[in-house]
Amino acid sequence: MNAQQKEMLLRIMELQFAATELNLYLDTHPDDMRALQEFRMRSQELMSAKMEYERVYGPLLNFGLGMTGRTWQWIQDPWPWEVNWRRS
Amino acid sequence: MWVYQKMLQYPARVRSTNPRLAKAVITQYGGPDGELAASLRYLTQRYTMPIPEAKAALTDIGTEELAHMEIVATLVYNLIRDASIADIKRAGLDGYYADHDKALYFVNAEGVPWVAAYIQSKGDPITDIHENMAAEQKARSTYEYLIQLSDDPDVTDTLRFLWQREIVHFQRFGEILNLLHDYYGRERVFHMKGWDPEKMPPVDR
Amino acid sequence: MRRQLPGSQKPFRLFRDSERELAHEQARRRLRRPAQLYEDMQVDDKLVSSPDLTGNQSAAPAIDLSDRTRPTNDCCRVNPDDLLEHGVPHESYPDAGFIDNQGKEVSCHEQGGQGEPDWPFGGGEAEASQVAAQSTPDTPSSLIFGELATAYVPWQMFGQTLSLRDALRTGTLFPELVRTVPLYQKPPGT
Ligand SMILES: [Fe+2]
Repeated sequence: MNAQQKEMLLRIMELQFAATELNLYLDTHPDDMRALQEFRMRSQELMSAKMEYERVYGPLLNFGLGMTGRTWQWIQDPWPWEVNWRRS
Repeated sequence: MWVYQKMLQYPARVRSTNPRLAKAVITQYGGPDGELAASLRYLTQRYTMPIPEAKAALTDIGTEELAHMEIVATLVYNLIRDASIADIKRAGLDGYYADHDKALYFVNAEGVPWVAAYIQSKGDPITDIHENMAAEQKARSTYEYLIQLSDDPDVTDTLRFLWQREIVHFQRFGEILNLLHDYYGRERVFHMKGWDPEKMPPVDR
Repeated sequence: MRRQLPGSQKPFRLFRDSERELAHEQARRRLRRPAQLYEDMQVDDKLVSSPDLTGNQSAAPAIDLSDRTRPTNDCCRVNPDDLLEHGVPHESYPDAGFIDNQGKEVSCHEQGGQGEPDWPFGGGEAEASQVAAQSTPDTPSSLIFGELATAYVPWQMFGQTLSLRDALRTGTLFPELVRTVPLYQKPPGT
């Protein structure tokens, strides 16, 4: 996995994390409009970041939820536990 | 149903081969207060929750714990992947190696396999949420002990992330507990849910 | 209230001052009750009536909290509101009894089939459930801290959020939930 791919994936991780946090918050504060607004914004950003990534590097999601190109890229390495996130 | 995302929740890093540390960290994979136990506990308790907030929170936190399980597995896998037989013997992992090679298995730090008795699903929602709040505290303590044991700053970084998540989950379960008390009609003085300054009577001056 | 995030120079506020002020005011309002309710309670006035924001204590409007209803999950517990509303003894009223699964009408005290419990030393005629039904629901302690023997976690209110990168690095989006791992201290003698 090259540096550019890692950078894009890290951006998706950040958005995914913010959306997860807001989701948990909204579970106990379903009437909080400010949190809902921020959640909607983040999930939209997340969706477009994922689409951009999948267009270049293949699907992030399985079972028909990700974008599939002309070849079956889902089986492509590396899998999440094989990515080296160290800078050096 | 569940779907899989081909990425970790956190960019977990390992500096060098360290089977000794793997032997300790694996307890958060298959130990009594580990991520498997956390996930299965919440996902199995959600069916008998009386309020929508509780069903949602248990589903979502239970799902996040599965992502944590994958992070812990990534740490353990990378800590033992390149270990030699001599490394494994020195780390006291030879017993584990005899049964599992370097494969991931649900055991605690002493090699005891996971059992369902680690978790409880009591049917009383108040009791179940207390169980979960205790579980988050137990996991937090375990991460603190692992951080004390860790001699790999990259592993420590990931353990710290997981440690912080236990605190957030505790807060959410605490709020669910408050909502359940409301649901059962118990009066709370400092009740803030649905608190709306517009709807309150004017403050007298 | 300002706190510094570890490793960051950016100060942040936990929540808006006006929000906190209003929350405190709400709590104070809820503590004020008509004086006569306290007559037989031997309450230290200072304990239950905090001065309002202007320091004007005498003009404190009393919010009548006596209409609070209590849960009726105990078979012997009487909810006076039920009696008023329906005009007939409610199922939960102890004298009304209930129909058991054999179609026989029984008093709620006979549920376990043990009949009246035989208390050995006398003097404690009222059963625990009757005591619970009679006791005052509000006490100075419950008015200030809420119901006893009940765990309670403060509600989080939506305030500032961390940047996306800081959130992932610290493990939470919310600055008020950021903690630092306690430093490990070696036990003495090691
Ligand atoms: Fe957790």
